Amino acid sequence: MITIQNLSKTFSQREPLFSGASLTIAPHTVTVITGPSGSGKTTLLRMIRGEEPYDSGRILLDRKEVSRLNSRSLMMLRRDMGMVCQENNLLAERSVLENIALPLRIKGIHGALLRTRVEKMIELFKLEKVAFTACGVISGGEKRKVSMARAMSVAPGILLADEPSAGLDPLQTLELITILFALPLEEGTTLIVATHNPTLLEGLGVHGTYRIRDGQLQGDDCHVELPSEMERFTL
Amino acid sequence: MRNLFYHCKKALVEFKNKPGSHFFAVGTVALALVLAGSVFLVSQVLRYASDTWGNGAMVAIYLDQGTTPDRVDAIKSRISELEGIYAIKTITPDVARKRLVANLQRDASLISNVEPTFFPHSLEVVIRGDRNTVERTRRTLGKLKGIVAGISDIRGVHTWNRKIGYIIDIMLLIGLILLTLVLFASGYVIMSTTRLSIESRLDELKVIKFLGASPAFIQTPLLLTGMLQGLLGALVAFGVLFGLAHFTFPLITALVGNALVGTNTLVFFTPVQLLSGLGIATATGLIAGKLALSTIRV
Repeated sequence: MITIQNLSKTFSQREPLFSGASLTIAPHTVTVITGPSGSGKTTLLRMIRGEEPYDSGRILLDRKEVSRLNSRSLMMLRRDMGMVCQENNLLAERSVLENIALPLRIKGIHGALLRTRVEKMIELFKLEKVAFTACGVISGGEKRKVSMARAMSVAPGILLADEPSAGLDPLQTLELITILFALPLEEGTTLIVATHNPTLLEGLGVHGTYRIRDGQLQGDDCHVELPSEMERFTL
Repeated sequence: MRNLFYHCKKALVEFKNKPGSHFFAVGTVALALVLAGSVFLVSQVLRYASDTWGNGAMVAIYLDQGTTPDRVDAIKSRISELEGIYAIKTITPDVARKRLVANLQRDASLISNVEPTFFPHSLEVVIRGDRNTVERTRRTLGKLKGIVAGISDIRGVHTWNRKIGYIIDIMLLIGLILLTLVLFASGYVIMSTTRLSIESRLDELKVIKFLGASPAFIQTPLLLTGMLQGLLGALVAFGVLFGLAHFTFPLITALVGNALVGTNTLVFFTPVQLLSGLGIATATGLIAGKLALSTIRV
């Protein structure tokens, strides 16, 4: 459960990004955060991940307040919280395989389990042809896929996707978003997607959409009932 | 443990990717250790030679005028109990006179009127053992004057052994100072290459941190690279030193002879010294890497 209570954040000499924003995200759901460029979507994701401090209010992850976590707890939190950044953040000199395996190694996963997870991601994102190629020389679309595969490789409890469709054509976007949105059902991940173009996500089973407006997180009426544990199991 | 294998692999890849700076560091460590090691090996050769030459070192003990033969025997018995005493020969006044006459040759007439009883009894003590044993026994003999009644003077016939001992000690001191200096210099070079490596990989390290890596996960490959530089430098240095010893030792023995060098086997480091050298070089790499990491915030 992710709970945001009365969150306020202002960058110096600018209008407040958030002023008393609140939001609750249930586990194993897909939540979309929308808003125009510069509205604070990325900042919100970074605050949830403990990378950006906030001025007041609380962000609770399973009742633990993010701003009160020590560096070790933050490190553990980031291991279990995947993030797909707009700029991909890949290691250009390392191969696609190595990039995908990195979060697993950081988490201390090795051997057969590591191979199984990496192979699954390679297959899921159809990266077989570039598996051994350095990430610096693959196409933009492939980089996006690797970034998502890397974030998903550890089956994170929470996955934050910042503009996942950036730099992709509509077909590639649909392909990737479909894989991404299957996560809550397949691996019990809580997915939060930040995008300025929510129309791309229409009809993809979003559980909640929130628009950043006037420093608030305003929910719309498209809330979808969460699948029960039994439904998730049978899916 | 598996992470350690992974980090070792990454450290080796780092060597492969940027061979220039890493081999410069390895070369510096190797050159530095060759310098210090050469001084140490030369002192080792001198030590062997000194120990060999020290065998048979002689000390002359002059007894008081009129010392009775019984007292001479008692003093001999006391001295023979000391460590490293190989032989004690009694020089009677008559023998002493004959020796002096033989030494004076044509001028022997100068002492023709001197009574044989003018010469005191003396003892020629031959000490055998390594340099330290010889020196220890010589010092003990020196202290006997004043403790044992009947001894009037004690003189070391050969003082070269002690002098070589000083030279060896000075060489070892120079070697130690040199080793300390070159370790600092090598550490500085390793620190600089590690800093360069960190700076060139800063973006990569930030991504790894972004994924939730612990400081140990980030630092280990960098520290291993520093350790590897030290270790490889020491291995190269020992290889070069072995080559030098292998080629120069036969030349030295051919020049001065086995007997003078004191050994016919190659003078080189003992396994413990080799392991210590490798350990010190590796530790230098580790410390230098740690210092480099402390100067850059990842």
